Amino acid sequence: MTWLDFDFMRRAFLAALVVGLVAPSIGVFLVQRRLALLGDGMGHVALTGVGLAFLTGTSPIGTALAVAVLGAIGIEVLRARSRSAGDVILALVFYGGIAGGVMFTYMAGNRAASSLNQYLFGAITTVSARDLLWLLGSAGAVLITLLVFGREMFTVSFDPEVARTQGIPTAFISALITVLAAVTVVIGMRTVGLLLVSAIMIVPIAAAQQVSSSFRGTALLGSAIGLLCAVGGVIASYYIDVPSGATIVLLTLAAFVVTLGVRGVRRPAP
Amino acid sequence: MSAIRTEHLGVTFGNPVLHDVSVDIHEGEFVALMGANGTGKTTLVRAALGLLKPSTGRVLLFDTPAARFRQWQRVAYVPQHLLTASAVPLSVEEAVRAALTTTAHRWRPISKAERARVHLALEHVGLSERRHHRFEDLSGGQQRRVMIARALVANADLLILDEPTAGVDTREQKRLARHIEQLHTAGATIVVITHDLGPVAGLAQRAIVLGPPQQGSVRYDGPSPPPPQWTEHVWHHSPEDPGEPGLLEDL
Repeated sequence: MTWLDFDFMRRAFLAALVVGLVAPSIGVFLVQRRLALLGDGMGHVALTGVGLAFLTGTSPIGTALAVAVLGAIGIEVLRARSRSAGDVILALVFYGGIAGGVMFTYMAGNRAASSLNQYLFGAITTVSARDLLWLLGSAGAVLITLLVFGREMFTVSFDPEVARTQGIPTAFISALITVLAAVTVVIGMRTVGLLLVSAIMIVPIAAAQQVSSSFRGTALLGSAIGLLCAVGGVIASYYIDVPSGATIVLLTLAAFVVTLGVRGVRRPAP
Repeated sequence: MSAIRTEHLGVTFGNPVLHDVSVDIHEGEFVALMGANGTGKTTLVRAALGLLKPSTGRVLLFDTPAARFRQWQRVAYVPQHLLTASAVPLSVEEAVRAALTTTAHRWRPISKAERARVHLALEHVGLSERRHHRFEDLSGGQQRRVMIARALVANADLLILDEPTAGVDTREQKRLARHIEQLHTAGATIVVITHDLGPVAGLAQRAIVLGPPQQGSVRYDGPSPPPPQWTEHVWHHSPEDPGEPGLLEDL
C-alpha cells in the first residue's frame, strides 16, 4: 500500500501543499521587514487560541485563527503606540501567548493536555476534513489578499517612508502583513506545528535569497522550496515514521545548505 | 502656483529643530536647500511631505494642506539612503517599478505600458543592461541613477532629492546633474538638499540656506549661488562644534 491509499495522508498532502506554497509567500515580507521571528510570536498567540478551544469545545483552527488575528492587530497597535521597542513587544506576545495556552489547556483537563503536542509539533494523522476546509479557505484568503495588496506590501516592506510619499497607507499595509502572518501560522499548525511553523515561512526564503537576484525571484523560488519540502516532509514522515513538522523543517534547512553551496560556487568569496 | 509652501513652520524633537520657517517654492523652480549637518534640511523636507507633524505653523503641497493632500503621484521623494540595506534581493528593475505603486488599480498587475516606461527610464539613465542585477551590487553612482530613473518613471511634478551627489565621483556627479536638469527642463519643480552646490551650481535658480544664528531657521533665501557670507557656516559650523560662524577666518 502506498501513502495515497489512506484518506488521512491525502488530507495531510493537501495541507502540506497549501502551507508550503503560502508560508514563504508571506515570509518574504517578514524577512524584508526584519521580522523573521514574528511567526514564532504569532505561533505562541495561536497556542492561546488552541487552549481556549479545548476549554470551550470549539474548533481549534477557527479559535486559533481568531485569537492569532486579534494578537496580530494588538502587536501593530502596541508597536505604534507604546514606547517599547519592536523586539520587546514580540517578547511580550511570546510570553503572554504561551502562558495563556498552557493555562487554558490545564483548565480544560487531562485529555486536552495530551492533545496539545499535536498542535505544538504537528501531526499529519489528525488533519480532519473539516480542518482541511478551514486551511483551504484561509489559504485562499491569503492568496487573494496578496493579489490585491501585493505591490503595496512590497513597496512598504522596502521603504515605508517613501511608500508614504506615494500615498500608500503604510500603517494599514503593515498591519495587513502581520495579520497575514498570523493566518499563515494557523494554516501550518496541523502539519508543521506551532513551534516550528515560523521555519517554513522563513527558511525557504533564506535559502532562495542565496541564489536569487530579485524579490520576485526570491518569493517564487522560496515558495517552490517550501512546497517541495512540505510535501516531501509529509511523505517521508509516513515512510520512516517520524514527526512531520521536524522532517519538513530539516528539509528546508537542507535546502538552505544546498543554495548556500550553490552561491559559494557561483560567487567565490573575495 | 506653489509646489511647497510652509507658513511659520516649527518642528520639535524635544528641542526645536525647525523654527518659524516660511518658504514658498513655486512650480517649475529649481531650488537648492543648503545648510550644515543638523540645520534641519531633511526635517524641513520630511515635514513638507507630511512625514513629520509640525509643532507650529502649516505646510501646503500644491496649495493643499499636507494632511489633506492626496495627489501623491505628483511628488517623487528620493531620500539619501534608499534601499541600501535590503534583506531580500531587489533587482534594479524592481527598484524602479516600486515607484509606480499607488493605491489605484490594486487588482491589476503592472501593465505593458508601465513596463515600457520602466525600461525607457532605465535606458535613459544608462542602466537598462543591468536591470536584472541586484540593486546592492551597483556602485553608489549607479544606485543614484536608479533613483533618478524612479523619478523619471513616476513622471512627478515635484522632485525632492536628498544629497543626490554625496559619495559619488565627479564624472558620475556631472551625469546625475544632467539627468536632473532634463527633468527640470521638462517642467518639474526640483528641490535638491545639498551641502554644497557642486554639480548643480549652474542649475539651481534659487538657494535657501538654513542655519545660524538660529539653528533650523532660514538664513538666506535668494538667487543661487548664495553670497559666500551666507554659506560659510556650512563649512565652519556644525552642531557638534557650535563655534561662531566665520571663526576660522578670524583665526
